[in-house]
Amino acid sequence: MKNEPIKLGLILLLITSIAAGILAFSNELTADIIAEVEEAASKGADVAGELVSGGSGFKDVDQAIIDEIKSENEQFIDAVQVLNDSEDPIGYAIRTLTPVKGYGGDIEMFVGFSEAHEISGIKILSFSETPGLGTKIEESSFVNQFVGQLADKVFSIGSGSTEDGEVTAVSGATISSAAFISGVNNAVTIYDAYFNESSSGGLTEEPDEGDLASMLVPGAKELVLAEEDLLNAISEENDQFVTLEGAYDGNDELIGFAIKTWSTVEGYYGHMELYIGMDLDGAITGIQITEINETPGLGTNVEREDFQEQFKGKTGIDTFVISPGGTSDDEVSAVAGATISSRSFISAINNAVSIYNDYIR
Amino acid sequence: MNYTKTIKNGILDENPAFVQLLGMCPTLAVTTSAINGLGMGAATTAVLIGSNLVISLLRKVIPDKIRIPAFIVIIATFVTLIDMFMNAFAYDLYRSLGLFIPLIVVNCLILGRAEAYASKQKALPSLMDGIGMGVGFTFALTLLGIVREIFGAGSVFGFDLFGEAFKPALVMILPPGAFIALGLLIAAINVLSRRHEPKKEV
Repeated sequence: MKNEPIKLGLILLLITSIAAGILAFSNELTADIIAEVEEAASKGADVAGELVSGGSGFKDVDQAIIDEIKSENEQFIDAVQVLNDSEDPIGYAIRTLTPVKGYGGDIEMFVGFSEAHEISGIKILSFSETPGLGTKIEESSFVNQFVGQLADKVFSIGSGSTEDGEVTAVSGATISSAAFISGVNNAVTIYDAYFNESSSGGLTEEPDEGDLASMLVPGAKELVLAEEDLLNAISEENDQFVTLEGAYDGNDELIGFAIKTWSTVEGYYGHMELYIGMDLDGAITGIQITEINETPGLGTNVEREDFQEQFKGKTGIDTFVISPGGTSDDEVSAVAGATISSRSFISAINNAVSIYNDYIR
Repeated sequence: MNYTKTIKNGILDENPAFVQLLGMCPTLAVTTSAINGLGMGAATTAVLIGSNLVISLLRKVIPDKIRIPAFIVIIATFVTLIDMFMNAFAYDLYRSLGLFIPLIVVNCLILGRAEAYASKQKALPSLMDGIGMGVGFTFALTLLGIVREIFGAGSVFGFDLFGEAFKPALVMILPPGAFIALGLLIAAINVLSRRHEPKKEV
C-alpha cells in the first residue's frame, strides 16, 4: 500500500475542497448583508439619530481639520457633521478611542454634540470589556448621566452632581467606567477646540489672565514673565521647569510669583504639569493643574481642595514628603488610593519650591 | 435504539458540562449572564447537530487514519457558517458572543461527540445525539449563567430582581465566580442524581 498516503491526501483534499466551496457560497450570500449591517451599526441613519436626536445622516467635515486634530490627538479617529431629514446640519459627532484603556483594551466610541453644545448621545462602537460587567457601561443608566450635559466640563467619577461633571461609575466596573469617561472627555476637548463655534470657556482655553493670576496669588491682577536670562538659567539647570512669572497687583507692585513646572516623578499615566503661585516669602498660595492624565475619579483627586490645602501657606520648606499623620510642616498625606499620582503632584510642588529657594529667595 | 432516551441521555445522565465536564472553556468564559449562556449554547448546538450529522453520513468515506483532520475541517466549516450567518442576521448577539464563536471549533465537546458517537453510528441516532448533547450543553450554560447573573448582577435575563438595595457579589461574574458556581452546581447535581438512583452494590 505505498500509494496510501496519496490516497489519504486526496480524500482530505476532496473534503476541504467541498468545505471551501460551501463557505465560498455562503460568503457570497452573506458578505453584502454583513457589510450593510456593519455600515448601519457605525454610520447608518439609526446611529445619527442616537447621537443627535432628529439626526438621519452624516456628512464628512473638511479633511484638513481631521488631519490637524489627528496630529494633535492620538486617540481621535474621525469627526462628522450630523444632518437631519432635510440635510441641514444639527450637530457634530466625534469618533474617538479612549485615552485610558479599559479592562479589555481600547474602547471606540461615538460622541454626539447638539447645536446647543450639549452631549446629545454616546454610542460605543467596539469594546471587549468583561461581558455582563464592563459591558454595562453601554447601558442607558450609565450613559444617560452624560447626555444633556454642556460640553464645557471634565467628567470624573464622583458622587456629586452631574452638573459639575461628576458621574457615578458602574459598580464593580470602575476601570471600564474610567475608560469610557476618558473617551467622553477626549471628545469634549476636541469638540470645544474645533467645532464649538460659541466656545468661550472651553476646556482648551486658558482661564482669563486676571482670573488665573488671582487664583494663583490672591490679589494679583497680572502675571509678567521673568527676565529671559533668569528663565534660561533655570531651564538649563532644571529640565521640568516651564515658566516663571512675577505676580503684580492693581498698583503694579510685585506680590508673588507663579511657577509652571512638570512633575519630576511620573504619575500613573505620565507626568503632570502644575502652575504654582507663591507669595514673596515662598509660601504657596495657589495651585492649578494645567496638564494631568491620571485615572479620572482616582488619580485626578489630586485636584481636591483638601489635598492641595496641605501645601499652602507654609514657608521655609525644602521638600514636602508623604507622611500620613505627620505634624511637621513638610509632612503631608497622600490622596487615599492615589499614592502614585500624589507623589507625582508633590514632586512638581517640590520642584517649584526648589526653584524658589535657588533663584528667587 | 430509543431516540428519546438518546436525547435524555445528553441532557441528564451524560450532560456534557455537568457530568462529562467537556467544553469547559466556553462554559466558564461566557456564562456571565443567562442570555450569553443561552446564545453560546444555541450556537454550539447548531454546530454540533450539523457536524454530527455530516460526520455520521461520511463515516464510511473518511479513512480512519485521517479522521481527526477531516472532522476538524467539517466542524470548522460549520462554525464559520454560523459565524457568517450570525454576523449577518443576529448582529447584537454576534457582538456579545463574537469573540467566542470561532472558539467553538476547538470545543472538545464537538470533536468528542464526533469521535465517540457520530463516527460509529447511523445518521439519525447521531442527529439525536447532537440534539441531546446540544440541549444538555445549552441547559448547563444557561443554568450557570442564571446562577451567576442572580448573584453577580441581581437580575435574570436582564430583568432586575431585587431592586436598588441589593448589593451584587461581583466575584460571581468574574472568572473565579465561574469556577465557584460550576463546582457548586456539579455538587448539587451529584447529590440529586445519587438520591434518585437505587443503591448499587459495589
